[in-house]
Amino acid sequence: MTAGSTDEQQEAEWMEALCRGDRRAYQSIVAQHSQAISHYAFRMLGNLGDAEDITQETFLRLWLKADQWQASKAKLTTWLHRIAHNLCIDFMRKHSRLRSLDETSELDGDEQTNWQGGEQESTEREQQDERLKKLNIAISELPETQRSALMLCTYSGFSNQEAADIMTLSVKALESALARARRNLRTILYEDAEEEKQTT
Amino acid sequence: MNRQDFIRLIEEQGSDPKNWPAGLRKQIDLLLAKDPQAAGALAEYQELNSLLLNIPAPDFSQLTSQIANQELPEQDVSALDALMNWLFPAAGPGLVWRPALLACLPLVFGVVMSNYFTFGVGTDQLQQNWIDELAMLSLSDYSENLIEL
Repeated sequence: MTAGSTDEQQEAEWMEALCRGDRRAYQSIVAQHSQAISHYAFRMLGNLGDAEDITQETFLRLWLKADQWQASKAKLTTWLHRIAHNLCIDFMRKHSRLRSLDETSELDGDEQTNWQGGEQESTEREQQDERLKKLNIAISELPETQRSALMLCTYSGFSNQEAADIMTLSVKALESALARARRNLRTILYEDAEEEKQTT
Repeated sequence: MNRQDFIRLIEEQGSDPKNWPAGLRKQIDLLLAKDPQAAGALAEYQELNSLLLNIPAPDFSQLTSQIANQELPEQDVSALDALMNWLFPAAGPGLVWRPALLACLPLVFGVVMSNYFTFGVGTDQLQQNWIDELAMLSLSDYSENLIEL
């Protein structure tokens, strides 16, 4: 038996226990999946507080609707991401606002410094930061389908098929959204930079 | 494969060669060797991918423990759902024997019912067969056999 199938077996057992109201099984699933779900929600919404709310709601639904999960149809992580994805989409539509990751990201100063990785502030690093900022803004401006497709395939490590299942799209439609998202970001990062160089 | 096809492939499948179809590897290598613009596009998409992976995300470990220990409402599972969950578990040894048990129930029911009721099936015909058999026996002449003895 492979490690993957052992994990899946373990998860199926946790889910069965969860259906019987076993809190320890719930805690094991939360420990295993909450980081991935909260990162996905954060990257979709660009806001720490909203991402936390979505994560909490996702696991509350897991607790209440565990009996609806079918091992034969989807892996647990796929199912949880689908719940989180639907909650994010509902949230964005309800609030009809997509705040820029750059403007609203609630990473505090310490975390930003940690990520920057030290005190050296070379020009190269500044350029990199500038590009990341630009990229953040560009991502927040992508349509929700393109952003979601990009987040699932790039950060969460899902295959195109799994991401399509989460978003309830055909693989063709997902790949089309992915292609448009990557093309948009590339245009912003490289072609705009070229134009800036030419004008200066 | 031309440059446009290749760029479309990167946009759909990502810039990591692991995700590309194995059958196209040779064509891609040839294209990259002879077309610097295709190679440039690949480099840009690879850089874009690594930038995407470098976007920081906050640490949610506190949230994890908060969610794990939060007050949970009563699970609202109906008796029918509870029965279905028991009969069709997601995993474990019950995965086989519980549905098998369910499949056997009509048979058990049939055995029990037929023990008490005949529902008029076949009884008249059976009785008629025995009557015919006795009539045939009564008409047979066994005296020849007795003489031989």
